[in-house]
Amino acid sequence: MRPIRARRWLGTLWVGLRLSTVGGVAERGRLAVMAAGFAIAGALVLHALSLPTALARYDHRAARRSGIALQRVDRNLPAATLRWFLPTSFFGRPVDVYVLEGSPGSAVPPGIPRLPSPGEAFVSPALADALASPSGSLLRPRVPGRVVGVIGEPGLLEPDELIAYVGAAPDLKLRRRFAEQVTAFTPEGSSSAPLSPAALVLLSLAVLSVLLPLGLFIWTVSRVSAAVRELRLARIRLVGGTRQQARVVAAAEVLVPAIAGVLVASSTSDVTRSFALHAVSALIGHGFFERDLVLPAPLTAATVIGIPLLAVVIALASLRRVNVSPLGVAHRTRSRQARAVWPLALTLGLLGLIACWAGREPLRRLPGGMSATLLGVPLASTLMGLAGTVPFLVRVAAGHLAARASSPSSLLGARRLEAGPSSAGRAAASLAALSGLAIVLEAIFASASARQMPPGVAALERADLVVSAVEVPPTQRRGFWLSVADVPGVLGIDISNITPSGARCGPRCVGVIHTDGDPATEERVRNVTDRIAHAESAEQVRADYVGWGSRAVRLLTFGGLFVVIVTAASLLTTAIDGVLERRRALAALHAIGAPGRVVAGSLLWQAALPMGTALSLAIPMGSAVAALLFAFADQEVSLPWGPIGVTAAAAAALTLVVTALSLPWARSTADPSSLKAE
Amino acid sequence: MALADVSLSLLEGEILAILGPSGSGKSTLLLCLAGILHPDEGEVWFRDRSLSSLPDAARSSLRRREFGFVFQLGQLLPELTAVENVALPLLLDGVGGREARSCARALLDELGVLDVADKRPGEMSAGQSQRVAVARALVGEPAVVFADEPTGALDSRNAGQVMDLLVGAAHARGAAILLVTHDGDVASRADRRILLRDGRIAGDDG
Repeated sequence: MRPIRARRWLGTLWVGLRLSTVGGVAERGRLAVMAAGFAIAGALVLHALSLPTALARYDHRAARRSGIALQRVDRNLPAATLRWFLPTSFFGRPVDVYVLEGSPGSAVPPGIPRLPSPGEAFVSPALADALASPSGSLLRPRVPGRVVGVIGEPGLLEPDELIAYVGAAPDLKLRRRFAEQVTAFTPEGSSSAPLSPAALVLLSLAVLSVLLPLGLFIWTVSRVSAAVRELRLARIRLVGGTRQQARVVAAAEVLVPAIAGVLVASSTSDVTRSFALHAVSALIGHGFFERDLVLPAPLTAATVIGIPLLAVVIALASLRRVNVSPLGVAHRTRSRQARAVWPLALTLGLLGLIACWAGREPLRRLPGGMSATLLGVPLASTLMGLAGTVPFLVRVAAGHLAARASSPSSLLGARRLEAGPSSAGRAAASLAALSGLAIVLEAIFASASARQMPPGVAALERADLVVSAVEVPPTQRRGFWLSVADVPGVLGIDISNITPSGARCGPRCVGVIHTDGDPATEERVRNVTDRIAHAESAEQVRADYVGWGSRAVRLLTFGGLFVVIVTAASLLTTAIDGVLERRRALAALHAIGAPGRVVAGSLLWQAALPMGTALSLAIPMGSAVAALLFAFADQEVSLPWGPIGVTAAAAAALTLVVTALSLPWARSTADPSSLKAE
Repeated sequence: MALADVSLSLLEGEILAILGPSGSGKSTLLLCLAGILHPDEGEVWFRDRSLSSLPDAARSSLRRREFGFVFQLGQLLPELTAVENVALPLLLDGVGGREARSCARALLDELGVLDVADKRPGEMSAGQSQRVAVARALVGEPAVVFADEPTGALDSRNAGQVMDLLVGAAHARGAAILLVTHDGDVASRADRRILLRDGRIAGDDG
């Protein structure tokens, strides 16, 4: 009995696999679209998963380079390496110069064969290039010693790092103000600090921004040509297939393109890695080696197996709302009332936030956890309502547009969205929710950064440099400032007893150097000042205040862009699927004399309406929520118009890209062969 | 070669049926005559204009204004309602939305399918879909209606009704019909019949 049953299931599986690979132009097109979709999803998942690995490898190198260091010099450790730091920068890029002093047998940093002797220097390849460049002479005085070697990859955090290890010459010993003793260059001495709540929120958002749209994209790809495939399942039922066999066929049909897609993604990951490297470097704010992004084999295997499995789960889950009978296919749809829940949740959420703002005084007196919960519930309701309302609004807007359309393009596009809103609606929903959340968080980080900056720092001009002369004995400070004023290109110095950040530091302790704005002038000033203290540009001084906030905003902007890109990919898949599904009807449209621009226009509407609706709702809602949260705290909100503009511009550009990429498929429908009756 | 030595003319208001077995080139001939396919050799003339000399945009315009089409099935856009499917050729020709819908409703009424005007093709029967397709073919007051197996997917009762409507409405508008069919009953309604075999005219009763 068992072998017969097994044979029957294997036979069913074979039918499913066969069905996914046979057919005409439309079927081959569907297979190609699905495989391409899974390949894109696979590549994105593989590279997204490699990010934690890359960060861990970077941290490991940083920890090893730091080594086990004692902050206080212990004379009983003669074999330890003494290390002190001379920071500087070169045309806006930080340059880390480490002075090393030791004896034979002392610990040697990774990447160099031995400690540099006094008067010697090991430099990174990027620093060697910088020194050899035409403007390298402006940096040479700050990298003391004769270059005797290049630091190897094990000693570098990133390929373009500017770093030097120099031997402890007598003049450098005079510049030693703080030193540490390194007993071993090993990562074991480092301990990772627990993540701050803000970092945890950002990390959660990053995970959500990656997983949610990717999951929806995989859902969209798994549902390509679902109507045609479900009709095939009905035919299988008609010839005696059971419900379970129909499910096996459905699973097998999606398995073929999913496996093909992820195999393409994993086999081309070496090619796509350089693109991922640039994206990740821009996102994190520092570079990586390409090998940092190589995913460990178990994770690669998990992705290659996991995505097809997810596709099968989606295919089977979708069938739960479909009744496949020998007579045909019937779909169970949600009632109008069920769909109206989301606008209600959005409205109630906003009203809840307004109520919290109105009653903020008594609310603030409540224990911290309770007031946060009272604020969190309407906030969550607003964001969930925002996500759920977008598909509802897309459908309403499409119906409204179609009812009044006088152009065939808008009529076709709007009716298409109205008739099959699920995929576009899901993509737009994730875009709206994540964009809305990103706007709230960007507003929080941007406003917090703006508030923290002292007026003296905010008032610095772009071409100003700030130098602290604390290390210069008070009697020699006048001479120090005079030597700085003699540098060509310096227009004047404001010397003060108070730093721009408002801290008192003694007589003539700080100078704001006004330069002519020539980058070479800045470097010449540093050749005078950096022997004592690093001359920071206005941008570097501000970075101490806005650094984490701007990094967070940048991270959120990238997250928003990623969501827009994945949304566009979902809309492209849906558009191509729609064209393939209506091949014959579109051929008839061409036959009755419709110009190509009619179908092109309808494709534009199909992409623009969901994107536009999602952002039209997310931007005011996100801004309103941010404004209410800040009003609750009696603080002024600074809305992130820059990132909002970037997201909106990207959405507009990608809408055009989606239309352009779906046009070749639309053009192929003009083939009159699909009109023939036989 | 799908067609060879085919020469025929269609008069104003005439109904011409092209008969033949599967693969004889009937549909190919219809698509060539409608300016959708381009013959490798020979020419198609419509009112002193050679279709092959016209650019693609002009041929599209000609099909919009002078020709109507009825195919076997699957020709209606599934997301549009019946009235919108019928109004589509007018909208393509720049007629205002309200006027186009009004004309479409009047024609659907004339063909007895006004009750499905706001339904989509998926919600209609095959007979209703074909009547809507006939309405779409006639809404632009064409000079020629090209019909490729217009009743191929219908039962005999519905087929008869659809043909009656097509022929009656075309006659009322002075439109000629070029009808591709392998159904003798359908062909019997034509003024003239041509038999096509292996891409050549094997018989002409005109």
